[in-house]
Amino acid sequence: MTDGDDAELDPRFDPRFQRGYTPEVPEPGADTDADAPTRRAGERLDPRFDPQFQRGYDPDRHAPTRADRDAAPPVFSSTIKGPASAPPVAPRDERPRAPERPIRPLTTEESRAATPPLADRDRRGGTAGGGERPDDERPDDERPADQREPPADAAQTATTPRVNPFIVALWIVSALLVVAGAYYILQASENPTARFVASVAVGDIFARTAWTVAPIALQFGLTAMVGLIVWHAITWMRRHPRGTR
Amino acid sequence: MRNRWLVALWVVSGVGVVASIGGAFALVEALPRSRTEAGYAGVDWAWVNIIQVLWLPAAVTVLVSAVLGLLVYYAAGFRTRT
Repeated sequence: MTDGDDAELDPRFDPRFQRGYTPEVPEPGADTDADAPTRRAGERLDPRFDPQFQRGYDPDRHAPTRADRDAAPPVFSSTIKGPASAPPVAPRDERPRAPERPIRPLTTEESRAATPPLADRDRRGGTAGGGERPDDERPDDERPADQREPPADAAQTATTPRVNPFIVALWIVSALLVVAGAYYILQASENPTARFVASVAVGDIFARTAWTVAPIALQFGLTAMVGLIVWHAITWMRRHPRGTR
Repeated sequence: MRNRWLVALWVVSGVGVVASIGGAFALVEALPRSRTEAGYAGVDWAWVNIIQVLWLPAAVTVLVSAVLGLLVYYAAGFRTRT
C-alpha cells in the first residue's frame, strides 16, 4: 500500500479509493449495459427508450424531441437520422380529417338503442357455449354486410318526421270544425224553416241538433287554431333564446 | 329575428277586435230603427241570423282566445327573480 504509484491495487477494496488508481477509458467498441453510462456521443442509443434522456443524445443527429414527436408517431427502431425508411408523416394540422358533425346529446331512446340490453351483451360476449350462433344473435361485425342493422342514429333520423304529426292533425281538425260549422250556419240561415219546424220528423231533429252544435264547433275550431298559433310561438321562443332574438 | 307566430297572434287579436266591432255595427244596421211592424217587415232575417250566430260569436271567440294566447305566451317567456 505504501509502495508508491507503481504498487498494485489491493483487490479486496474499491480501487477508486486506493492510491495509484487511474480511471480506465472504455474501448470505443465496448457497448454493454454495465458501461452504458459511459457511452459517448455518436454511439448508437438504446432504441427502447426515448433518446432525449440518454447520454450522448445529440438533437442534430438523433431522433426528434418530444415536441417533434407530438406531430408524428414515435420511431424508436432507428434513432439515427438518415435516409427515410418510412414515408413522411404529415403534421397533425395537415392530416385529412373526417367531416365534422355537430354533437348533440343522445335522447333516452337513442341511448337505449345504442346500448344493448345486459342479456344481449352477455350473449354476444359469451363464447362458452361455442358452436355456430344463428345470424340474429351474432354481432353486426360478424354478419355479412347486407344483414347488418343500420346504426341507431341513422334509423332514428330516418324514422323521425320533420313535423309533429299531432300538430298537423290538430290543424286539420280545427280547420274542419270551422269550415263545417260555418257551412252549416250559412246553409241554415238561407233556409230558416229547417231550424224552427216542429221536432216531429227525424230530419228536423237532426237539423235542430246540428244548429245547436254548429256554433260550438265553430268556436272550438277557432280556439284550437289560436291555441296552435300560441304553441308555435312558444316553440319558436324556446328555440331562440333571448340573446339570439 | 322576429317571432312570426307572435306577429300572427297579434294580427289575429286585431282581427278579432275589428270583427267584433264590425259585427256589432252590422247587427245594428240590419235591425230596424223603430220597433214597428213596418220597420221589421224589411229586415233581412237571414243576414241577421248569420251575424248573430256566425259572425259575432266567431269574432268574440277569436278575440278572447287570441288575448288569452298572448297572455300565455308572455307568461311562458317571463322570468321571475330568484
